[in-house]
Amino acid sequence: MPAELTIKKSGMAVVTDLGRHATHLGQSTNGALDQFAARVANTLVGNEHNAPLIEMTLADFRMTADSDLLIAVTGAMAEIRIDGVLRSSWETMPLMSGQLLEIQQKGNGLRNYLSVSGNLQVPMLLGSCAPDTLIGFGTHLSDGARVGARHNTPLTALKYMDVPLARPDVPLRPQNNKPVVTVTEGPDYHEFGASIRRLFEEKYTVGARSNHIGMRLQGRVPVRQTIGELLSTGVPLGAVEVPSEDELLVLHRGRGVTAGYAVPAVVTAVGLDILAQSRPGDLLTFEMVETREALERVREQHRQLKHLRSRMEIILRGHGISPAWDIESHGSPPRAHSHFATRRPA
Amino acid sequence: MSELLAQQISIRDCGDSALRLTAAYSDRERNWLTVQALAVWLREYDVPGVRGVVPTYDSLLVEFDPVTTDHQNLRYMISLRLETLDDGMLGNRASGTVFHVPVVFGGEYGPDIESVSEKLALPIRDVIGIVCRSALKIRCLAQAGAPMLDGPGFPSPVARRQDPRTSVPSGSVVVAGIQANVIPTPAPCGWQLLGRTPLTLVDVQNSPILAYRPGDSLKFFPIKEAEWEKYQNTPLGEIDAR
Repeated sequence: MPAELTIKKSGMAVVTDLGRHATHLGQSTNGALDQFAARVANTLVGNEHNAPLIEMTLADFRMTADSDLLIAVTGAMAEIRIDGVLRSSWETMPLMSGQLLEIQQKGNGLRNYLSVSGNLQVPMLLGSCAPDTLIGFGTHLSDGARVGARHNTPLTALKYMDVPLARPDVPLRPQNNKPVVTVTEGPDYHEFGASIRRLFEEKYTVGARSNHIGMRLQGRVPVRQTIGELLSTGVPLGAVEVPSEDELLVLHRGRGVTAGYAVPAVVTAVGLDILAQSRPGDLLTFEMVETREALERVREQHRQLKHLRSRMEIILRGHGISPAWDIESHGSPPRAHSHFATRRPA
Repeated sequence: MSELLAQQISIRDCGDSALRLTAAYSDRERNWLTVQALAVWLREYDVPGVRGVVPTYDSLLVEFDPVTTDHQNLRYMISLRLETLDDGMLGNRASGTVFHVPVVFGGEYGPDIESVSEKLALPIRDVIGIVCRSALKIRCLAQAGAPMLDGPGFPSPVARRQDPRTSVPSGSVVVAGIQANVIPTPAPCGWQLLGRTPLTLVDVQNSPILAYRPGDSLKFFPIKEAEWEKYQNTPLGEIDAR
């Protein structure tokens, strides 16, 4: 039976997933800016990693549902209440039909993720529901909005015990206002000569104009020693650019796919999640690691998620709930298939 | 990679989830064909772990899932593929479909046409004539699916605007340096705005969302302001040459 969520107060909230993979069509990636928090949220309620979920920025959110659901809230520090009773983030909670869920961002961090057991029914584009502000696509929630959710298995066995369903061990990143962001050497590292050292000596202030497209970081910046215009090239998520004399631009998941700036460093996949939780005024430092080390860290995170999934498999089944996931997959979003193949055979 | 190839092709790490390949043959056309052909191969053969490719003029960004694959693995596969990339396969990308694109030039649609005509010391009519003279090849897809084109054959390159506009409307036909572009969705832009097309190039309500690919061309033709509505809902590809 489909459930319906009623958003009583949305604040800044969207329905998103892990992102769109259609850069060959010039389309930005987008998707949950803190990917780890989004994956954990979905896993806690038995969803696939890539299932649509709600991303809130500076959460100020109230919602009810018309049937019993499992929910989880992850990400920034927040005050969570169900029918007025204080709850915690990073755990699996029942939300019974008619109960009021409230989420208020409190303390460090910027973005919260709310997962709901089942599949939120929202429009998709090229394999993803992730909003794209450049092309004007996506589900931005507003007060009074209703969102359908389709269950894979109805939660008939779910009894409201007035306590959370599970609090499995999730390795959490420390959250404070002095984030350390890991980067690797960028493809144009050597074009910056000795000035590249500034990137690691300086503390950068997160600027107010930062958003899902790019983070603006104020401080002493490295200076490109080579002159000459660059042809447009594809730029990766996390590319560090120096477009002005007093500001760095770090491209996040909403970035345009090409740019004509040199890239001295690239923020790691794990570092991008940390950037997603930093907010204007935070003091940020960069830490350089070898590519090999960065790979090790992202794979360690993958092992943690895999472990969490196997724990949740047991816990949920113990409550008579079947998770939606295929135990073999590790949650990579499906790729948008080429439309060219159907348009005209080669 | 053979020694000869290694001199022309560099592949650099681009973070923990991407590589950037750059082709440096003396022939710019060959650079473009090489990165485009590699991009098509990576997609069509669905190389495991590859999440996305962004081929441009002489470079190719390959994004991947660092759990499924890594730099070393992809570098090896791409190097082997390069060895067998022959001229015939490169040639397949060279000629594509020509799309005819109506444009209202000048006035509020193309406020920079006068200054461009002054800088080029050409009458406005000739500027429009040059822009519409030949089909301009799509070299790559940029932000939001914008077709990055070869520039029109002006006698000299056109400088960017001193003060970039904070927003230009969708359909804006813009030029800078030896490049041209059609802006698919409202965006900031520092290029010279010559005109605007009523066609919708990227449409999220449609599948496919865009009809062209690198190697295709756009051929502009001038229309009057009064003809705007006539073309407004016409899909790209259904307009014949005038």
